[in-house]
Amino acid sequence: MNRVRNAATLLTLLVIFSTGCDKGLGPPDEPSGFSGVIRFKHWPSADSVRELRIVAFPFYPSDSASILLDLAQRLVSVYPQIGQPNLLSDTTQRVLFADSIRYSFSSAGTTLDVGVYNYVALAWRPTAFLFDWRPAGVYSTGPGQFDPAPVRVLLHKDVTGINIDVDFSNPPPKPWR
Amino acid sequence: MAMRLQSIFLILAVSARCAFASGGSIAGRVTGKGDSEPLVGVTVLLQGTVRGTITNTKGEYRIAAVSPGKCTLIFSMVGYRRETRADVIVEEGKEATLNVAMTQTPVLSEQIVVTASRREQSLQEVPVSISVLEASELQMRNAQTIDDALRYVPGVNITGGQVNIRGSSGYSRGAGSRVLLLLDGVPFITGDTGELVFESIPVGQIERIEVVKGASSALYGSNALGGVINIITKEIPTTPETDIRSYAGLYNKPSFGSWAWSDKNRYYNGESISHAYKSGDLGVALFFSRQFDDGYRQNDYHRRYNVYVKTKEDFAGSNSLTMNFGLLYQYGGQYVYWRNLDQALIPPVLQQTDDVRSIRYYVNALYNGILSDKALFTAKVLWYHNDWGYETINAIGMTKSLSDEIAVEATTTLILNRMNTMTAGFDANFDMVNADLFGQHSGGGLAAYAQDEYKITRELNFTAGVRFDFQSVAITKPSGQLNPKAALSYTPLAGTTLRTSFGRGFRIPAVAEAFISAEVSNLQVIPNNDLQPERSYSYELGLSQAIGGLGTVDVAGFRSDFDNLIEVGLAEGSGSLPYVQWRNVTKARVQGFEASFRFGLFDGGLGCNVGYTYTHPEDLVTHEVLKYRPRHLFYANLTGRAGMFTAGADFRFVSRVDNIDSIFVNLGIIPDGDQREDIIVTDVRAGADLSFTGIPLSATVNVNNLFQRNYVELIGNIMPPRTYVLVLEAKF
Repeated sequence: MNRVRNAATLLTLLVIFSTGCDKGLGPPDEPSGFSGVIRFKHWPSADSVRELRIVAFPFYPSDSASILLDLAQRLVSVYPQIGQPNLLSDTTQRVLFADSIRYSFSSAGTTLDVGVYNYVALAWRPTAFLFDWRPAGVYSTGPGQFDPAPVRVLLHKDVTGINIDVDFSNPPPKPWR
Repeated sequence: MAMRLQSIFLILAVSARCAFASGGSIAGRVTGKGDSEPLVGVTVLLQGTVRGTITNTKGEYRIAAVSPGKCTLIFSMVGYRRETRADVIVEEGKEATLNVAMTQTPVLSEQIVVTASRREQSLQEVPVSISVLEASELQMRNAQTIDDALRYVPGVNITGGQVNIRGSSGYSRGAGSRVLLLLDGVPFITGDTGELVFESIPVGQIERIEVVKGASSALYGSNALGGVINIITKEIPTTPETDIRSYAGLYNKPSFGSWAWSDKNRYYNGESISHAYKSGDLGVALFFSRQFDDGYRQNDYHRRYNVYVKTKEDFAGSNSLTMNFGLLYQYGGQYVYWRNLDQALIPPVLQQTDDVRSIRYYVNALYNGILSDKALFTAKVLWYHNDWGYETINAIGMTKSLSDEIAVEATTTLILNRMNTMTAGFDANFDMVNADLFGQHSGGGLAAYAQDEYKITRELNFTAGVRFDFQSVAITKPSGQLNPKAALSYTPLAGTTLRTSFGRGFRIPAVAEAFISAEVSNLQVIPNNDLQPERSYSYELGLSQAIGGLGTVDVAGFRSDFDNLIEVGLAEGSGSLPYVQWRNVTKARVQGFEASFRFGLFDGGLGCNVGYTYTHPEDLVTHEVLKYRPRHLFYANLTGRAGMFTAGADFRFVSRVDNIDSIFVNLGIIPDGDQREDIIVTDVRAGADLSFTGIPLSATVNVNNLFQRNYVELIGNIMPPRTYVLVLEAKF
């Protein structure tokens, strides 16, 4: 009788001990970020487009000397994140020489945070030199404009319509000195 | 300063040596019944006196300077039935021999505690709720710091490293504590932030931890609103002992790909070495440890070094002088909260490079003098120095804080007659703070207290005490506090004890709470010169009942009323932005009940502890539930041993807290900060004694958070995923 009682007690405890199987907290279904379309014009030759990445600066990047430091400190968010294949390697759509592509820059898998980004651009590396970056297009106040427009990233919301026009023959000026 | 104090103690010690070296002595050996193995750590008390000792590694004991005549000895130890030997005859100048064999009863504890009345008492005799954590429990869980182990004490939960006993505390953002931490009976709280820095005390040198539940300011003064945690350090063994311990742990990968932030495995590891020996009357223990942790979250790493030295000089007549020195040096990242739930293991950008470095050390001296068979005198001095600061420019700027606390106390325990035992004493403390965030402040306090334990009948004990504190430390206006206590315990039958108690508690605000001045996330944090002490009244009614040979049950109902409770919150500025400030905001009441069971299964082959605590913590002004107080706590653990193998499991359920400091969520400072769930965690372990190899080695494997539950104790802070730890320990 005692053995039965002991075994029942032990079994009860083991059932209790195994009730933590549920995973608990997890990422919400809707990450934070923004999305839109990038429209391209006047593509150069393929060897002049080595990398394309979207960059989001919380501030206007007027000093080139500090950009590397800001990148290192993750003050600047980059999509796809540095170290991962760039937009040209997108397997879901053909990017090189396309008229337009869709993109979604979210907090999942990047350092994008909730807040205001005052300079959002498509960064272009035209040469083999790893630090030769320039803006190909900027999210601006209107078509054909180079004045950057702010993007407000809201918690668990995809801010749509953040479209970027890219004219490789007439890129926006480098914001930094 | 320390040298001068040491000299005073030595003079006291020498005078005691001269005065009390007469009488006879009793010596003997304590073994287990049946196997004749020596029992180490058995408490041996001379009934009706203040004299006592514990057995050494050979199971031997000796009590000197015993008055000639007939006396009674009481032998007690956890897991063994108490043994009493009456009519032991002691003659002048002679040594009586008394050997005792004790019977193992795994489910019945005969625990000796010292915190309830500042003197040694059997756990069954104390009229308040006390839980005890033994060194073996800390070791088997491979606890890195004390708060790791406190998570498994019934009625206790931890939020962001701060201790909450039966709903007394919520979370105060690192400033102030409603639980008093004692190190060998002396308050051990930082002078600036009023925190409990558990890392300062090396776990490997702890004999046991006593947790008193309920207000205890009548004996211990400020901070003892919700309870007291007393860390008792190990005694120095009579034979040389060396202990080498090493552990290596691995954090499991995050549950979700989007939470992954590092391609590398995240490890933690550490080593400690200690050696203790005794030469004549002088015992010395040395300890060093190193703990490295990569952290499972970004910028959450730490490197920690502890040094600890203890010396104990025994004098004639069971008098002794103990000196302790402890040093903690650590540096690491500062992870305050997550970026959001998408990136739960990464801090916000501005916290990604925060580093904190700290050096904390303490020196304390404890003198134990037996004035006569009926009078015990203890004196204690502690100097606790804290130096910490941010190494980098961060969200609150470059900061550095220096603080020193000096505490002195003297206590006398007098057995007045067969019915009355009186404990009385005084203490004083002095604090100095020089901090970028809190400014320069100094102050101090004086207190005197007295308590009488009155044995009304053999079954009925009444305890009453009072303490007066005068403090001028953090608050601008000096204040006095009178804190009474009263308690009754009734033991109508062997194994049955009814208890009831009342106590008052208070807490002087920490310097950090009153004087902090900073800007965090564009919010001004401003000082509050009008901050007043908070107070509490605690009541408890409890029953402890042994159930045959099955085990023991303890049930208790409790209630605490708080006045002037200090909370951090937003306040409206005059026409400007709101600001953050610590304020006396509310009256509150916490009431509930607790039930704990200790029992054995399969004839004691498996030991089991189960504890459940229900609390209803209510703000009496807003009628909301107090912040960061879970309503339900449930703990269970199983421990088994078979030959050279041991195994165990811990289960912990902490219900989702109803209320948090939501201003940090509403203002967007901690995105997704309101995301929280029940805490349901299971840890398992298995070990083996490998001494059959000829090497005195043991190995344990722990798997913590076995089911990889993702949960927060504090908003915006995911707790560790599943971890695997291998521990190797050699003792010789």
